[in-house]
Amino acid sequence: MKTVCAISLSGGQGKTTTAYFLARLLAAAGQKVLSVDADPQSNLTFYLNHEPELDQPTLLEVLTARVKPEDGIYETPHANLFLIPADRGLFKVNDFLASSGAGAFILKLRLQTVADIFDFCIVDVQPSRSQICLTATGAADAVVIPCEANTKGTNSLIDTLNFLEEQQQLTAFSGKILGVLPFRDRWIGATQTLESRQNIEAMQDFCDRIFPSIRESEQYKKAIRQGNLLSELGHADLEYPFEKIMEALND
Amino acid sequence: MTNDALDRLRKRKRPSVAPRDITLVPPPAPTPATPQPETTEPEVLSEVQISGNRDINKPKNPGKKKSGNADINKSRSRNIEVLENLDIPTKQTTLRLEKTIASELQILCSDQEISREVLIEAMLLHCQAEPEALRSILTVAQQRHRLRVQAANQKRARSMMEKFG
Repeated sequence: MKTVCAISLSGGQGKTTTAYFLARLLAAAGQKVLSVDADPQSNLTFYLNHEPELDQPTLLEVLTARVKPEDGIYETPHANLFLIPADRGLFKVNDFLASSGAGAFILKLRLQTVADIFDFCIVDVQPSRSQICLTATGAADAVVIPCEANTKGTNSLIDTLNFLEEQQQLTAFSGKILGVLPFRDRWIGATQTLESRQNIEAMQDFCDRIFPSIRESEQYKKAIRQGNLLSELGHADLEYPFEKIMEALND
Repeated sequence: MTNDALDRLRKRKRPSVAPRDITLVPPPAPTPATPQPETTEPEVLSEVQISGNRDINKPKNPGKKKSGNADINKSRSRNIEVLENLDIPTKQTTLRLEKTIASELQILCSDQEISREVLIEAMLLHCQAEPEALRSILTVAQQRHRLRVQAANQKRARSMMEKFG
């Protein structure tokens, strides 16, 4: 099983969008996919049409070993795609991870027990330097960094790269940075806006691989809201960035 | 592994877990000895009438002594004995009262030139000597407690709705 994390230390950078479409497309391609919602905002859980009851296991109980990892895995409406869900209670795992002395490795440890069942694990990571983010980073074999094609996004990229470098030096991150995925790349007709173009160019100074961007488009939101793939809505071309990520995963 | 493992995952019976508290600030736990009602916005509560004379800021016979009750006299004697010993261990606590009652209490104590604390002590000692009075007061107190808890829950629900939508 290859674990891929969508990590960006600022909010609203496209992590959940990335995790959602990557997991869906991999599953649609016949891969066995486990998606993990590692964000107390639990948007990925919601988009995959799952609402855990307060007494049902979630990632919180998996990380704190109150249940076996298998007990925290649920089917989704989509073939080949499973989910370890989250809810707001997940923020309480920070104390456990901090006091464990090995917080950066807990998620990796828990996922080992199901590693032979799945081909890919896609993790949507909380946007902050929290213990949750540390444990997700520690589990990652590969990281995709989505960031908005604007100044905030570029700053987020720099911050995230610094964070990953720190974790690497501590041997808490041993994966590879797959690349940067520009998000909300604005085009007016056939012309990219100056803001988007300049920021994507700036991103190239910090990372070798910049994936084709996710354009500013209502179609992504529409697809997520309806639980569809973009190709199912007649916009297969908008899936191109994720196809390139999938190719990179197979390299 | 093949689909068999996935089938097992699909069909797996999951255990129940202790219900998660997803609030950011858990409600304060009541102290075991003297359960405290939660803080409330008293204006939300409807008036709760204390049985008997509620006009407590103007007692009918402020100076009149009660006669013919040996237990009350005994408790009063105990009071006097205790008060004569100036080295009285006390415990400082916060007293949170409904606004109108706090005002009336203050007026009563001011008129009688006593503190709220000694008034409360006297009331409790009286109730211990008069079981009927104690029962009557507890009935009203329990009713007020339920209203306080209800108001506190509503306030918490409003805060959560404002915060999380």
